[in-house]
Amino acid sequence: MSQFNPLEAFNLPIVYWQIIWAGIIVAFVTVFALFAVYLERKISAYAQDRMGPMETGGWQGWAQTIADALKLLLKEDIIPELADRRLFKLAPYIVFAGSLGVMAVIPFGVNLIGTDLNIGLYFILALSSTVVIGILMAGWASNNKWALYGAMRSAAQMVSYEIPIGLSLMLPVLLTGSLSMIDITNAQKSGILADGYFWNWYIFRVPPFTLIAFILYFWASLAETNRTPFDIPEAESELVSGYHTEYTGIRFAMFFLAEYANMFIVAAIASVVFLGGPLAPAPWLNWIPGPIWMLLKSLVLVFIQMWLRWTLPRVRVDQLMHICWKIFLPLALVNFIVIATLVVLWQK
Amino acid sequence: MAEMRTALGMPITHQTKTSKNPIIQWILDVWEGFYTVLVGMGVTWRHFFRKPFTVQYPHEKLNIPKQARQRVHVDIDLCGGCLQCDKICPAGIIKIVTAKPVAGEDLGVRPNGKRRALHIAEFTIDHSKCLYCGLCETVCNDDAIYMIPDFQYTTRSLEQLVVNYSRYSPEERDRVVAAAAAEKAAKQASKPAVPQTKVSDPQPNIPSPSVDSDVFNEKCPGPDGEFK
Amino acid sequence: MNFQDIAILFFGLLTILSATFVTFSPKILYSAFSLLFTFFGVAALYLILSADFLAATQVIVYVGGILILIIFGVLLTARITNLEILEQTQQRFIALLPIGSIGLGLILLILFTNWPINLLPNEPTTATIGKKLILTYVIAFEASSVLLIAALIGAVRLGRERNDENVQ
Repeated sequence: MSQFNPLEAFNLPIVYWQIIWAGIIVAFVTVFALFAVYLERKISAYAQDRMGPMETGGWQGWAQTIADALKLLLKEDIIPELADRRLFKLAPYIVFAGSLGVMAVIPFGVNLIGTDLNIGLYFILALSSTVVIGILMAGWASNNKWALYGAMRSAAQMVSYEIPIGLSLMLPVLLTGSLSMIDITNAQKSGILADGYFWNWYIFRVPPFTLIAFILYFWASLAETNRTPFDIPEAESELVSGYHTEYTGIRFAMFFLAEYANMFIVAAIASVVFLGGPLAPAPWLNWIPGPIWMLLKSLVLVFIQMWLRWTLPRVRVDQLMHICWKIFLPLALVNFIVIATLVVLWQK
Repeated sequence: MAEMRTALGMPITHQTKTSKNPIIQWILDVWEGFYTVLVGMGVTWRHFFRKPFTVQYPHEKLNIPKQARQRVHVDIDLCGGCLQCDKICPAGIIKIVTAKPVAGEDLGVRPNGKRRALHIAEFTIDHSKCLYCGLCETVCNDDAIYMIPDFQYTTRSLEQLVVNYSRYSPEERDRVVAAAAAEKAAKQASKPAVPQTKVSDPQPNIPSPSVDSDVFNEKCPGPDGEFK
Repeated sequence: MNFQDIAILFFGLLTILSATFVTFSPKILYSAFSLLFTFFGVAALYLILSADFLAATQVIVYVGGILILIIFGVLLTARITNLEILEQTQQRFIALLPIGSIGLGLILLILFTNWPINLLPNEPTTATIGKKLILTYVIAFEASSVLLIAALIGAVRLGRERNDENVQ
C-alpha cells in the first residue's frame, strides 16, 4: 500500500495529476486549519484546566471552528481608508502562495507527491523566503504602526532563523547525497542493523548530532512560523496582532490559513527529513499505508508545537537574536562540520 | 536564578552549575535552557489530565451559598401593607398601593395568624433596577419579602421585569381604591367640624394612590427611554 | 509555438514589465516590491531553461536576501517612503556616452553570440555546479568568500565603533 503510485494507478498525464494534487492540497490545508484551530483551543483549554469549546455541534463542540470559518467568510472586507490599496490586496496572496507552494514537494507517500524536484529541500527554503516579502507588504500597506512593527519583527526573525534551519536540514542532505525529498525518504529505509526499523531514521542515525539537528530545526521552525515562544511579531499584548492587524474577513482568513498551513509544513518537513516521513517504524507495521504514518508523525509534531506554545512565555527581541546567533548557529555549525567530516571519511 | 529564588524566599529546587571555562559554561547554559523547557513541558503535561475547574454553566451550576442575595420575591398573602420596604428601598423600585376596606368588609386572616387590615391593591417591583442590597428583606415585619435562589431571570424587554405581585387585577385595584376614597370622603363630609387640620394633615401610612402612582412612574423610564 | 515558448514569452514579458515599473515608479517602495516579480520572472526563465538549482538560488539570494534588505532599508529610512522621485534628465550628452556604449555592447553581444537552440535535457545540475565551484572555479569561489568575510568584519567594526563612542 505504501508503494501506491497514483500515476500508474489512474494512468494520468503528469500535468493532470499535478492539477488534481494542487486541489487536494488546498482542500487538505483548509481542513487541517479547521482541525488545528480546534486542537489548539482544546489543548490551550486543558493546559489551563479549562474545557474549551463544548457547545457548537454537540460532542465536545466539534463544529466550533467550522462556524467560525463561516462567520469569517461572511464578514465585511474592510480596507482602511489610508491603506495602500494595491499592496494591501496583494499581500495575502503572496503569503498564501508562498506557504502553499511548499506543499508541492512534500511526500505523503513514497510515490504520493506533487512533484519530486531534485532540488526539493532547497526549493522549500527558497519559497518560504518569499513569505517574508508578503508579510512586509501587508505590514507596510496597512498604514498602521502595530502592523509595521509586527512585519519588521517578523521579517528580521524569519531571515535570522533561516540560517540554523538551512544548516540543520543540510545534515540529512549530506547523509543522503541528494536534495530530493523522495531520495531522503528512501535513504531512511535501511542503514544500520535491520532494514525497515525506526532506528534507520535520520534522527537516530548519527547520535547525538542528528538528534541535535532535529531539535534545532524544530525550535527554529517555531520562529519561522511565528509561534510562541517566538511569537513577538504577533505579540497580542503589545502589537494587537502584528502584521495582519488591519485585515478582516476573507483576507484575514488567508493569513490565518497560511499560518496554520505553515505549522503543518514545518512539521511535515521535520517528519520527512528526520522521522522517515511515510515509512513505518517497523516492517510488521507496513500494512498501515504511508500517508497515515506521514500524517501521524506530522500531527504529533504539531501537537508538540502547541504544547510548547502553552508552556513557554514569549522571549524578548534581544533574547530572540541571542538564541539564534549565539546558541543555534554555533550548534548547527559544529553539527554540520562533524557530519560533513564523517560523511567524507565514510565515503573513503 | 538561584539568587533570585533566595531573594524571593523560595526554595531552591534546581541548582545551576557553573564553570570557569567559558565554553563549558556555554554548554551548561544551553543544557539548562533545554532542560528547564522540558521541566515546563512536564508541568503542562500534568495539567492536561487535571479535572477542569470550570463548569458548563447552563447545564451544571455551582452551589450558591444560602446568604446569597438574588432575586427578590414577595409572598403577597403574608404582606400586611406596612410600606416599610417601599420606604427603605434605596432604588425606589417598590410600589405599593393599599386601600382600607369599606365598613363591614372583613379581609380575613393572613397565614401567619395576623388580621388582614388592608387591601394590597398593587405591589409592583421593578427588578431591572434592583441593586440586591437586601434591606427590604431585613425590614419586613411579616417575612413577606425575601430573596429566592434564582439569579437568571433575563427577559426580552425591560417591561417584563416590572412584576406586580398583588392578587388584584387593575380593575379590582381601581374599584377597591375608589371605594376606600369614597368612604373617606363620606366620613369627612359627615364631620365638618374639624376639616382643615385633618385634610391638610398627611397620612403617611395610607398615601393617596393617584399621587403615589405619579411619583413611581416618574422614576421609571420605559424601555424606549421615555417617561411613561 | 509550443508550451515552452509561451512560458518563455510570458515570463520574459513579466520580467521586463516589472523591471520597467521598478525604474519608472514614482514611489520607491513600489519599485522595491515590483522587484519581487522581476526576480521571480528571471527565476522562472532559469527554470524553463532547466537550470533548477540556479532558479532556486536566484529566489533564495535575491528575494530572500537582497530584496528584503532593500525593503528594510526603504522602510527604516525616515520619510523616504513618500518621497517623490524627480524624473527628469540633465546633461544628456554626457550620460549618452556610458549608456550608449553599454547598449551598443549588449546589442553586439546579442547579435554575435552563438545561441544554442536545442534545450538541454532536464537533469539534476546540483552536483555539477558543486563540483565546478569547488574544482574549476575554486579561486573565484574563495575570493568571493573572502569578500563576504571582509564585508562582515567591516560591518561589525562600523557597528562597534559607534558603541565605543557612546560609552566614552
